[in-house]
Amino acid sequence: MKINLKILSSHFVSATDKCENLEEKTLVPKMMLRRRLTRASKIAIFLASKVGYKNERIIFGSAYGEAKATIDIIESIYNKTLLSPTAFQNSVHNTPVSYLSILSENTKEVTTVSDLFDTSLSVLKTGAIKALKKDKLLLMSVDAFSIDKVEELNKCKLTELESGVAMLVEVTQDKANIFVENETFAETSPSLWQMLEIHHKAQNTQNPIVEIEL
Amino acid sequence: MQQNSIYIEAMEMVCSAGLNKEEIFSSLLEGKTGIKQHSDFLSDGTRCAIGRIDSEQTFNELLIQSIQTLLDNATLNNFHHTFLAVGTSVGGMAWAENRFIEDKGSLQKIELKKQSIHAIAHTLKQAFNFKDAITFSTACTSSSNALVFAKELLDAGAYEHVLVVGADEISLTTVNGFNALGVLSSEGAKPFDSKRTGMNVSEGIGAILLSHQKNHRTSDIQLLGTGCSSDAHNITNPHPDGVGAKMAMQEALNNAKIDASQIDYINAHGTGTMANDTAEGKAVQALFEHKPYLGSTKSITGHTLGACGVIELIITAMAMQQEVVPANFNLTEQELNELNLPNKNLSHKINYALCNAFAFGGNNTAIVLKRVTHEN
Repeated sequence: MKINLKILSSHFVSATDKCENLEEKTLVPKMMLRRRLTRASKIAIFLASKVGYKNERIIFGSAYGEAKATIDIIESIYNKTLLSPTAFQNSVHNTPVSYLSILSENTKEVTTVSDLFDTSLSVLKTGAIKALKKDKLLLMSVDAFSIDKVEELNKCKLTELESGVAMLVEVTQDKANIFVENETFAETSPSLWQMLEIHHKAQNTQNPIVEIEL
Repeated sequence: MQQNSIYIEAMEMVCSAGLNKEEIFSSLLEGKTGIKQHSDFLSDGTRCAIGRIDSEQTFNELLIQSIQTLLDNATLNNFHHTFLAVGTSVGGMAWAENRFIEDKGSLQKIELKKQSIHAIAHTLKQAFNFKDAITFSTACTSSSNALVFAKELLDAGAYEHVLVVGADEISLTTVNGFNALGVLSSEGAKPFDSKRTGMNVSEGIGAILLSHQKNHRTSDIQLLGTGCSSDAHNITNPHPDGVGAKMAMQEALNNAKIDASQIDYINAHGTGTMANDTAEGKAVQALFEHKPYLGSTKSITGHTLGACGVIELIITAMAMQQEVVPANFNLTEQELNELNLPNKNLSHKINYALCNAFAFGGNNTAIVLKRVTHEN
């Protein structure tokens, strides 16, 4: 089955260490909420603002999830130190989009997928099926692992430790002009590659429409 | 979008209350809980009540065995044309914790395919060769969201069969994490009781094969409608009036094209925490004026986290097939008197049922099941 998605807008952000200028103070005026946000949450909120998100349903993807919170918890258990409730509540894969829904008071469906290096492809496939309801959707994939022990985990030797890509889409019957060809982007987490490929192609295409095969 | 009927073709489950679906359902009717006290999970050595699967086999062995049992009871010979939708909140976390502790705090030997959320799908794809797979991870609604997607795939005509698997192994992270949040009980959970003391973290595996095919048994169970919403309120606590929960239930009813008054039984999320049960109870009160039977089965199975959506859907389907409403075990004094919470098993024909699951971040799901008899 093939479903065509019209790319209404898209944005990509990445950094070798931490993404700068995520406009946190403007986008998250409440200090208490801002202080609780994880790195991936800040990137997700920034990307949503850049693609013109207006409380659409959200399909989010992350291969590694909340790496810092996860490692903080496991180290705390290993060292028998007090476990932080905030670390635990921020450790689930849907943390970034939960904060986004709270911040934007979005009561619609939010779902999160995680399939290692196919994560962004899973976001696209999930989005394609859900788009058949004919509303606009926010598709987003973020991975952020600029953490203390990154050299122990970074076996692919990625240079971009934080990256995220987002797009607003809607289903269309029009002919596709973008196809997923599994391009590689060595410096960026493979979990983002398929969406990143579409983002780059959409930048150079008039009225970009991607074909998603299920 | 096509809207052909979707049926449960086969199902299987494993949890602390039993090693197969029949054993678990018997435990529910007999009030045999799988929850026991353990002192080797909390970092400070104190006892907590959790649900561990009582088996010599590893979690992955049980996972593969459950899916093989399901396949043996299905019309399929293999899963080569089947889509796999997995729901898990921790994936291979327990494996990673063991490696981390064995390697004295080093992450060097952590393998992503075994540690990540994708670990369950990876294991199953290797064992059964599915056509394609997606893993959903939205904490305690993970496998419910997988069910929602499965229905959408079948409605769209993208697949003939979708296998939905909910699986979460108990881990130090979840037990200590819920303890840090102050919601872990040291005794069996008492959902909807005014003196409830919290939840029991548990492990479990549930699997449901969905297709457009009827079983030709006495009664078939149809997956009729799904609903999803977000509280947009707080990262851990539900909206105190259950506003998001009510929205998800209403959306599921709308999707099923039935009225709230047609629901006979609600399998509640009912974790046994103060915040969840009050919010969910208020949402049920607000939406269902006719007071359908309401029950939580977590006092027997514990809270199987990302697996609970599928496990509790199987329990509900079995209750519909066997025409029995399971009792609310451990309930002695209900908090919200308007709720219809039976404290003993009741023989009752359930034609329409609703299953709720709620999660961190205010992620809410509700699923409507219909019993189809061969007379109608």
